[in-house]
Amino acid sequence: MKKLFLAVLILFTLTGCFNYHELENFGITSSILFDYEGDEYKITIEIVEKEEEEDKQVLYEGSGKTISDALQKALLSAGKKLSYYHLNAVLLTENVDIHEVLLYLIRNPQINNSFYVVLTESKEVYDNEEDDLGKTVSEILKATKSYSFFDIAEVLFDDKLDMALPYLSKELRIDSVVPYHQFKQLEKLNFEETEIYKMLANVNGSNVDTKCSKDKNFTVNVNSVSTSFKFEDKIKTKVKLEVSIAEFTCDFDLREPKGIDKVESLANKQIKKEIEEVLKKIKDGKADLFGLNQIIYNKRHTLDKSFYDYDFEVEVETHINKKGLIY
Amino acid sequence: MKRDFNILNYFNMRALFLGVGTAKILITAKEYFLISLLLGTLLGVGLLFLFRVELKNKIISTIVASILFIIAIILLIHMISTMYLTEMPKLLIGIPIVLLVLYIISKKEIVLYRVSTILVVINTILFALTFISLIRYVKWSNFSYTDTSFMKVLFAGVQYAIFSTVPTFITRDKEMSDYSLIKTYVISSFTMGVIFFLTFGILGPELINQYRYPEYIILKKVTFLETLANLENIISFVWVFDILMLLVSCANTIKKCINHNKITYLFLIGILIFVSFISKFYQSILYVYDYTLYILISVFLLLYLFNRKKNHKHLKKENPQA
Repeated sequence: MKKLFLAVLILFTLTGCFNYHELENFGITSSILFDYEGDEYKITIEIVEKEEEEDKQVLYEGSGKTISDALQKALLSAGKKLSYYHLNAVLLTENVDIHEVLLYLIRNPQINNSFYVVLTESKEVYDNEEDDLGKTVSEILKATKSYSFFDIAEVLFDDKLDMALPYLSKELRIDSVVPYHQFKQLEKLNFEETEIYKMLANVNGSNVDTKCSKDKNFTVNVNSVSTSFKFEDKIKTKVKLEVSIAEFTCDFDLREPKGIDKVESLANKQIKKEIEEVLKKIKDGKADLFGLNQIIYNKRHTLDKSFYDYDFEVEVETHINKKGLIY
Repeated sequence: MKRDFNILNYFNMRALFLGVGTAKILITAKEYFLISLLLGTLLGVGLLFLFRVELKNKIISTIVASILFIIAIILLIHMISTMYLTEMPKLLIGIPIVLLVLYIISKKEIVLYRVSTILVVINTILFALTFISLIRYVKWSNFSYTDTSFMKVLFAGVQYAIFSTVPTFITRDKEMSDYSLIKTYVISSFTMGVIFFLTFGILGPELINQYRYPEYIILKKVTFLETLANLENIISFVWVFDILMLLVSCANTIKKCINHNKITYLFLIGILIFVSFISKFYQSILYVYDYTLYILISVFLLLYLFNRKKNHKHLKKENPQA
């Protein structure tokens, strides 16, 4: 009898009923957009609902003096308990204090840290006919091996580090990144510069276009990249690339080893030049996107001079390992 | 039986690391945590080897076991209310835990060992899966130079030794408590070393310094075949099992000292009500975080002074001819 009483008692206390919510009253949040206008946060929450086997996007909006106020108002209009466990993307406009938003997100235990953070112009991105914008953004960024919130979170607490956020255009293209220094936005990197940035961040898949004469060129696609930074009076940047030829209209013969050597040599020069330009831009903006200050600190055990006080020396080693189906 | 006893203590050795030990050691020793772990393990082996107790002073033993029970249940309730049941009152979180503990101690002592033998299998599988899934996320740049003094590394070693050995002393009045426990201790240190390595390698010193449960946060990264994700709540049961077994060990010691079942049950329920009350104040977990090391040192000294096993007596009992 005692055992039965104990068993029943344990059963009643194992339900966790205070956290109980009906699934239909749950709003599965796929993305959240944070905007700041007229001294108020404006938040748009994208919830994905199932309607006859198909996903349907529903947007809820709220505004308030603080993030919590704005979310609370959005919640009131949703009439649902919002779940952030499946959050795919957080979209931020350029007006927002990014530091404040990221700190809010990191504190919340119900948010999964694997979502992506992107910068965008306005909430007009939701005007595209997407059933699930958050998922689309997440898939694009996953395919390009971008950093998730988990990876950029350390920037919040490490003064030595800075970050760059991908930029989502109104047409849902992510073809540029925006570097930050101490959470202050710097000049956007254009498409070509972003390809080089990805290379420096050890992300495969960049394309580099190189001219071989006035009107002829070739494009290589990076299959594998290994970038390392070393500090020895200068910051030595060594980029090793395994590339394949994607486009080729030049005159030299790719059947000959000499032709391949020439392509590699031209690609080396072009990539080196582009890397130097991007590094100069990052150096001018003082944005430590690659952990260079830590490398200097490891070596010198002091940071009286930051990475932007040193010169860069770039070395590129390109190897062509694939040419496709034709010569 | 001896093996079961050692398995139970495997859990006890790891129990106080969730939310306190891991974060404290990694924050103190930073990139030198493996040196601290090594020093701590050596010191811990020394403590287990040199100090033997037999829980003869019932009052002191009850006080010590109760203190450890309070610390463990505060850690567990806070962890559950932060991670899983955010809206549930802490008293209601504690009730099924204490009922489970009461149920286990209402059985013969062998049940306690059998439970730990079963849980260790689940624990090992979860641990191996976690390791396989997380090792690729370790960033070597996180092991960079941070200007940590040797004293801090040494202090972290002492912390490790205290956190891992003191909970075992409340179970060590058993005849089977011999030096084979040291083997278990080395294995538990190895598993803790792996957890430290993954936590530090994935989060780095700055994030470990900020997150309340860094060893739980890394579990959010666990995925299998890109489809099985959000498994942190299942995998973190490794920690729940560790603390649960410490709670059961403490309750078992209290039961043996009080030697009256009903009074023991009322006493443990009283502790739960007390903990639920103090857990309303967030300061309680902060005090546990800041002072657990010193409480454990005091508890260890108390236990040793009043319950020291007299070696010559012990030897005489074992070998009356001597």
